Amino acid sequence: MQFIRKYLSSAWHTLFGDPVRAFGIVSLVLLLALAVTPTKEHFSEWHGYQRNYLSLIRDRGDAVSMRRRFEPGIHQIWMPALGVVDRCTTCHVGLNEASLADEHQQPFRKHPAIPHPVEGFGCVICHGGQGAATTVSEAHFSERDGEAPILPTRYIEAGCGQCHQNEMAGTPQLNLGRTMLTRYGCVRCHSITRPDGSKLMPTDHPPSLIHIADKTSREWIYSWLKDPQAYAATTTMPNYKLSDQDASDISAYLVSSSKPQPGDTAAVDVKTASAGKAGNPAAKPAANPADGASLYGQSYCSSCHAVQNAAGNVVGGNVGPELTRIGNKVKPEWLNAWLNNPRIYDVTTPMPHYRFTPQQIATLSDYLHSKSDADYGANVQLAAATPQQIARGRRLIIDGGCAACHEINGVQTPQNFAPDLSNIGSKPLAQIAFLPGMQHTVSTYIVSKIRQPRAFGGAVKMPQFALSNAQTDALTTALLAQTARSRTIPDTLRVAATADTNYQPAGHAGKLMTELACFSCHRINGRGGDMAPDLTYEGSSVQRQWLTDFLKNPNTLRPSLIRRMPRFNLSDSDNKELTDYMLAVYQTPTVDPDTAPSATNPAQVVEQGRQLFYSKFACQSCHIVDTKTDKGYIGPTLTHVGSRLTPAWTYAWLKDPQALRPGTTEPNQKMSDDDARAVTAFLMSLKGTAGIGAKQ
Amino acid sequence: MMKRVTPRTLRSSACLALLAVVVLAGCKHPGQSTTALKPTATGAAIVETSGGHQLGSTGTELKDPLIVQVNDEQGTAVAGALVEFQSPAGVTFEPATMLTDASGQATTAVTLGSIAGRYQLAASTAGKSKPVALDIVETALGYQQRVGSILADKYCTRCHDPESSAERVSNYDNLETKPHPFTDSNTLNKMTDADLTAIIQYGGPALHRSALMPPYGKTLTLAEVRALIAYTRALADPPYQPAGTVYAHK
Amino acid sequence: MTTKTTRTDQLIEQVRDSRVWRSVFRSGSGNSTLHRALAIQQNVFLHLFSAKVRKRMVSFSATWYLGTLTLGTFLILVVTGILLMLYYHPSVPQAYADMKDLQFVVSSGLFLRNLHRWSAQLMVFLVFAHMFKVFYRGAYRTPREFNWVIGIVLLLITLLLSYTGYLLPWDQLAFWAITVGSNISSAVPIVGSKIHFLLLGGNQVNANALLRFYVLHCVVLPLTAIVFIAIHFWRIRKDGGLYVQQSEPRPASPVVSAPVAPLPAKEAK
Repeated sequence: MQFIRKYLSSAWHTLFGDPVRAFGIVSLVLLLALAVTPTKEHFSEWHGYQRNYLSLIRDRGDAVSMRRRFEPGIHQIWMPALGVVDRCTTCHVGLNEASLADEHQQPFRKHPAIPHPVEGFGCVICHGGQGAATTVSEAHFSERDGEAPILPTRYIEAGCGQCHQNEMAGTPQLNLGRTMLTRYGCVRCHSITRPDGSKLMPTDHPPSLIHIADKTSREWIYSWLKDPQAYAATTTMPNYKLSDQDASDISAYLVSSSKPQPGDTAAVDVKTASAGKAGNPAAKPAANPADGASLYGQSYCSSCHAVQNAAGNVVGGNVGPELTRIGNKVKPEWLNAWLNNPRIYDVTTPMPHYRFTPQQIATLSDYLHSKSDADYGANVQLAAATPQQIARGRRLIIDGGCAACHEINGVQTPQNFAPDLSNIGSKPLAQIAFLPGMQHTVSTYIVSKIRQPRAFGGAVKMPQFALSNAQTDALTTALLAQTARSRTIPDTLRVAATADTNYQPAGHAGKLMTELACFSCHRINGRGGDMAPDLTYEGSSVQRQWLTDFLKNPNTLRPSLIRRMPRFNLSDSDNKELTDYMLAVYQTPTVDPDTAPSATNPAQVVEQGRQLFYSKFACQSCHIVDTKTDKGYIGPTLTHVGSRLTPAWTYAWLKDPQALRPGTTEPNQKMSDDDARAVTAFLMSLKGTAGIGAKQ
Repeated sequence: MMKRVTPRTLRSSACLALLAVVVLAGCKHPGQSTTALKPTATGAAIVETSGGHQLGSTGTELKDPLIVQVNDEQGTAVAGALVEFQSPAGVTFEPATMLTDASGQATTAVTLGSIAGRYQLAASTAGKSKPVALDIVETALGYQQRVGSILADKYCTRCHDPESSAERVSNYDNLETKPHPFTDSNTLNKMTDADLTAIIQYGGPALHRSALMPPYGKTLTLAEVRALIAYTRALADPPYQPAGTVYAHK
Repeated sequence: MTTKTTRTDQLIEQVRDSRVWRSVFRSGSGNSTLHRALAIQQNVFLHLFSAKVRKRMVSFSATWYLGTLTLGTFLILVVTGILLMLYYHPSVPQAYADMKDLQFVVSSGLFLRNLHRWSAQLMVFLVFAHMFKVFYRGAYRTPREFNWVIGIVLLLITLLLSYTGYLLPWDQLAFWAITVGSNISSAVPIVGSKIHFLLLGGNQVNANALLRFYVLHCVVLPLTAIVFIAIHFWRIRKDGGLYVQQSEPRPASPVVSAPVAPLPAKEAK
């Protein structure tokens, strides 16, 4: 100890004993201290990257101009209105240099072409991360409160989704995810609010279970609850991983609480019932089974309903339920009544009222009943349920949140059954309970939750969805777009969602359209499906006689399409009602019939139109006018277009198709007025030799 | 003045130190045991069954898994051979090494990197004497190319793609003058971006070609046309080289 | 007295005799005791201290220089604090961003901030150590009782400076620490909620609280501290300098000749 003291005091004396020497030593120390700062700057990370950049561009052809554009030091994109302070361009120096588009060495690659300029938006708005940082670990991976790591590339579309609530061509994953959120029942339990305050509304149609006992048996409900995907591979109902007892109790409650609905069952016609199904060996054999299949085809049931064929491919639409094993499910008497008039059982169904004859109903019913799987539900034996089990079933339904989707007697629709996901993209990492071994990011959490919800503990009620990786990624992308930043974006930058309207046509025609479920396939005035053409301006476009004939017997205009409009067996008065309504109401002010080219056209103009059609505009690449010479079948066939379309519409269409139907594939050929008039005259002369409705 | 350290204290402190070292060395992090794959057979050749030449998006998994098959000299499949997938940085395989199954195939899910372009992957297996490798090419489409592919599907491929699918029948055979498919790099690589822009915007007659190609200048914006061209260039094999200064790549 | 004068020494003497020097420093050249005493006494900053101290007064073992070190850290804090004030805006979204700027953009910004923060921690530690050392030495006894009280006041000011400074980065740590602390203050009976409101300038920790704490931390509390430090040093001097055992006056009566434990100090003049 003494030795140390002696040493220290002698050192002190040597250094600071003499004041001049002390001053010198202190000055030296001060200089060294002052040199620390610039040295640290020189060896900082970002400075290293900038030096690398300079050595990278040294040997390039345009090195001189690139050097001139380069500014050393910290670069910053500052937009106070957006709260953006992004220093990413300090290291990512070549972000806007065109010649670095193929550069492999990051961080010097040019930013890939995107619709927004980097200077106008910064980087962090789309990519996440900590913009203010100038070190890689802090900028990319900071997990502090209020910061989030960079969004992985596979979810980059979530960045777009913060401002854009609409569907865009360049974000297929985001669009799919948002569609899935509304279609797979997510928003029935989780409420998701857009930044403008509107809520995401569900677009699926989970059936009401109030009269379920009229439709199906308890055994079927049991098998369904145990594994929905075993019955229908494409169903959106998730698997609740119920035990046998749970499924038995729930099915018992549903059956016991079901109230019969008068008129939703019709007696089975013994004469045409098929042998074997009803266990009636004395019944006459059914009519030719092929009739059922052909009626099914003619009615175009597959436009909405899917069926899994022998090869395992699912063919058909997804508006209605999958019918692969419909014979296992529904009672024959229910099916008959349903095909007769679906709205008795379910007023809100999107299924149209087909006006089948009793013979047709019997044929179709037979055919559908043949669609069954002998193995499905074969070993299900349920003992009669006790009142305790029924009560337990009701409790399970309440705890499981079934009533969030399905209307069930005696159970109220729960509110806020699951956490609100409006801000899930900005969920603080400290508030997430990660499983061991999980990467600590919000995206990993969401993906794991969707894939294996029950892995997060027994208290989680979320069921197991059968989704592919692509679907899970799409959902994650859509959810990651729900961030706190999306709520603080200035209104000028926001793009609102194009929401469906709730347009309902008035009067008797309106009732007809509801009965025929036109909106399941057609879009009118912003409401409806996208399977069939938009009819908003149908009144301006078609001629009366054609429309009447078409509604009586829909034929195809586009030969290469699989899905077609079914035939509804409309009465003449119904037909007239609809035609009058459409022609009167569904007009566009931009097409004025009075300004159309004159009805009678000199043969010269028609011939000129023909020449233009074939040689200048080469419309035959997509349209068929003469079946002998033309083969293009991208657009509708025009053999009878003179009887179908109105001249005014045709002229307006040729001048600018996108104005009348946005997003159509018909190119705008910038036709002059004379050319358009000539081609219109030519088209209007095509009234066809045979009657309309000639099949291809 | 140094304190005298007695032999007893020295011994006890040494024992403690030894104990500490042994205990710390014995501690193993749980779950770190790796089981190496043991191949039971070796093949002579490796071929691609499916999943090559796909177009994917940057940073996302390819739609179809990559399946390769290991065969022996006679061409019969070999089960239990070790297959290893290699790639440039950014690409991940799930899994990267595996043994071939009973039908001699190895399946892996490929996730491409975040840079758009062509990725050269390799699948290798230990042959009889030296490793046998197979080159596989996958393409990742960036944002602009993705927009281009969506536009192409909507406006172009009905005529330009000879292949039909169940949902969409090709119009290719119905045209008197057949259009060049976008994979026809011999023709397309000789056309500059300006050429392609002209023919898209003004139709076939802009380059003295058939008027069956309509003009899309008023239907598509310039950005969309550029996206289409970017997509077309992404499909080109061999890759498109624009005229001008060529920089030597390391 | 006159030693061999070198050219440098002559030059220095000339400068000290010049009119400018004498105007600024009043006493001119010369090395006499009077000169040296005047140099201290006529200096506004130095005249707080005594012109002469006994060597044993600056012995290390007496105080471990803890008080001096405390003053040293305080000075570091003032200097670094002023430098930090050049970059800091006490407004709610800006404060955190300024912290980020200091970390990433300002040259040696992180060093400056860390120096300030570490000096603050060190000062609190030194203040407590100084207090304990004074206690164990018995340097609180007559006539130094009042100085002890001043010291306690200085301790409180130090802790308050620490507390108000803690909020300024406006991160999660700051926010919740101050929320907890101000909630504690609201537990005082009768006037608790009023104290809470006064402290925060509102009912919640928000922009008002930040501004209030900033003013307290940068203006009010440092000025108060400087005033009390001045009083503290003045009292040290007036109470007879640093308390060292040997500095105790011998008891007046010669009755006790053997060395005994020092009695409670009487007026030591």
